[in-house]
Amino acid sequence: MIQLLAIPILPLLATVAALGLGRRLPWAGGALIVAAIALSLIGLLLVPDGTAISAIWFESGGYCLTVGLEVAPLTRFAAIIVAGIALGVAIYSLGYMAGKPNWPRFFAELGLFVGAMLALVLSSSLVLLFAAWELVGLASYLLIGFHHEEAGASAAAAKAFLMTRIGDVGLLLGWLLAVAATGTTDVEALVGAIGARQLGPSVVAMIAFLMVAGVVGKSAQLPLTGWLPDAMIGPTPVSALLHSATMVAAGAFLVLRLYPVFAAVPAALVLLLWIGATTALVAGLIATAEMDLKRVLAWSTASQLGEMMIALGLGGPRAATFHLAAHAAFKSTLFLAAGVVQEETGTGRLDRLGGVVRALPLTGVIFVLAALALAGVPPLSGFWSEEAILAIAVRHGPGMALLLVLLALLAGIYIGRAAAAAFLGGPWKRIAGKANWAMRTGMALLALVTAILGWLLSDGLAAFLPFPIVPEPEIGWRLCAVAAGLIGLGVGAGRARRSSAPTLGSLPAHLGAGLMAATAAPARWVTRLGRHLDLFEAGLDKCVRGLAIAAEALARTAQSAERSLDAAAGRTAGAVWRLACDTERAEALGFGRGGDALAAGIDTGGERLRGLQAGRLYLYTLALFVWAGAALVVGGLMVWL
Amino acid sequence: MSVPLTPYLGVAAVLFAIGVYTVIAQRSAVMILMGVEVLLNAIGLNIIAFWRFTAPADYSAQIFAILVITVGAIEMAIGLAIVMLLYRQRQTAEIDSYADLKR
Repeated sequence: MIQLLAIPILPLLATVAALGLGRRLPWAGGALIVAAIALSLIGLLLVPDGTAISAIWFESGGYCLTVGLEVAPLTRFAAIIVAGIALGVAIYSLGYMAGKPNWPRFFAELGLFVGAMLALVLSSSLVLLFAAWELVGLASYLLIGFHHEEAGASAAAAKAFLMTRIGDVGLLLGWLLAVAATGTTDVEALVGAIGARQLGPSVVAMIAFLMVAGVVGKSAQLPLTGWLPDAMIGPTPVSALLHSATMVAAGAFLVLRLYPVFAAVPAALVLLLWIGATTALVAGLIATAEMDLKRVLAWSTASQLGEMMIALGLGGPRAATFHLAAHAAFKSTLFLAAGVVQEETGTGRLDRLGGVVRALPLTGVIFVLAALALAGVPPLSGFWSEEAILAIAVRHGPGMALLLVLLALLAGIYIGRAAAAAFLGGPWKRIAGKANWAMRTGMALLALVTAILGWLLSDGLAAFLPFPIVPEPEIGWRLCAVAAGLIGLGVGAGRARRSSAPTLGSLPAHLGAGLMAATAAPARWVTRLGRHLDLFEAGLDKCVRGLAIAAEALARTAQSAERSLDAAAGRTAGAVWRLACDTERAEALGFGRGGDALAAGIDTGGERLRGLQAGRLYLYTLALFVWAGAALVVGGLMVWL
Repeated sequence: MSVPLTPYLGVAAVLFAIGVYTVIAQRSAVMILMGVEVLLNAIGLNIIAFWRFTAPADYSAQIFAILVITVGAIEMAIGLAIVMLLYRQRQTAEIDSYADLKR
């Protein structure tokens, strides 16, 4: 369990360490990365089959998003390829990057690349697979643009990122659809649901076609091939890794991982077949005309991946897996050798190279070995995998078999031309002497893998893969294919000895230029559309801004109205207050003073009346008599009247 | 010959007038008490005269006359007693000097 978890996490941890402490570590953290990848590889070999870690990330509304890793025969096989190739490339990088500016950053990004790819191949959940897929894209973006100060590097990085992103949208929609259909991101659940025919055929078809878009973007198939040759601007170890085991392999691996999904939709496989066939043919033709060693290899990668797609489309995932492994081995070897050539001579152009083998015998031998493997010469790895694809094609029909023979011929021509133009003939004598033991070790390691992988594959190492075994093709076809490869090598090398000009005339070069233009044109349209959208958005923005300003003015008006209402209310309250004050004063003055006056009046009245109380007895008596007399008079008058 | 009513009333009116004057004009408390006695007797004379000439069969007038005489006697007794006490306290019987209730 812990071992399984450690496999993808170790390179990522090493990345963090290299990023933080890189300058203080030996080889700027490179040794750490190498050690982490080596440990991952050992862990992969030790972890028993069927080991799985799965955790629920979160549940929401009936959807269960899981993250998990799983060691199954296929995922272990792919992860071993990734870790093995990455180990060789990382050792090579120790020498290649030594002393170059920013090398801690390089190793950090390399670790991220490898860790993400390991997580991708080991993932048992679609969401983790997608996250790792995007991380791989991010790491490749960073690495392609590593020399961002060089002209075109950042443009190439952005191109790679954006073109793969077009396909990634397909993958994203595809797995979201799968989640919507199955309620979980578990790969096994999806495969099981499709096996049990629980999902509607249209849903499965939709998932498959959307995933094909992701595969096309990541594996640089037509029409999204344009980024692959441009990605050559990155450091050579990056190209070696990107073109073999980590980046472009992800597309083919996705089809292998979800093969039951694609197998349930024959139309998707047919689409893959034709995309692969077209790409293989077109990219192979263009490769014969390229003048840059690394670009030849880049087009070759697209072509070889096309062959894998052909194998997948024809229903031969086993052959595709073989070819994925074999191609990863020989293509990384070719790139590492090409990197040595470029470092030593300072150029990668075929018309300026030549005769390098005399100065760099080991590199020359290794390059030629890998080139022979690419051309399908027995007993090297390419022979076995191409033969497996041929077996599928033969079973399908002679047309497909002829196409594969033609592809073998093309492969022989372009790699023969590249090898001959770079290493043979020519008067090149001077070399810079930069190649050191680390570069040689990495290169030799991968060359060894290239040489012996075929035996391992044929010897039943991959017998545990969960795909049906296809019987070997008839001896005639096998001879045909090998002969085509050898003839191609002979033709390419022979023409290149005389001139480094394109072997098959200038037509493929025009094809390449046209293809690049064709992929650039939609990009330009998209840019223009984007600019229009930008204008539209600006207009919309202005509109919204106007609305906001109007709303603000309205609010201000309302505020002032409210303020005036408030003031009016204040005035009213003030008036009421004053009225109350007046009332109070009136009360105080009026009633109080009135009361005072009354009291004073009563007081004075009392004072006056007091005078009556004279204390004179005679006055009282007199008043008594006067009163009695008056009463008598009044009474008499009343009686009389 | 019998005396008619009018002379009785005249004598009574004169007595009353004398009494009023005495009560009003005299300063001595004793004299005032005597004026009051004259007033009471004038009233008694009037009562007897009217009884004799208007309703000789009715005896209520005689009772009134006796009441008036009794009241006069009692009044005299109490009044003189008060005046005696006042005289002892103030050494004077002048009615005007008894003005203590007036501030």
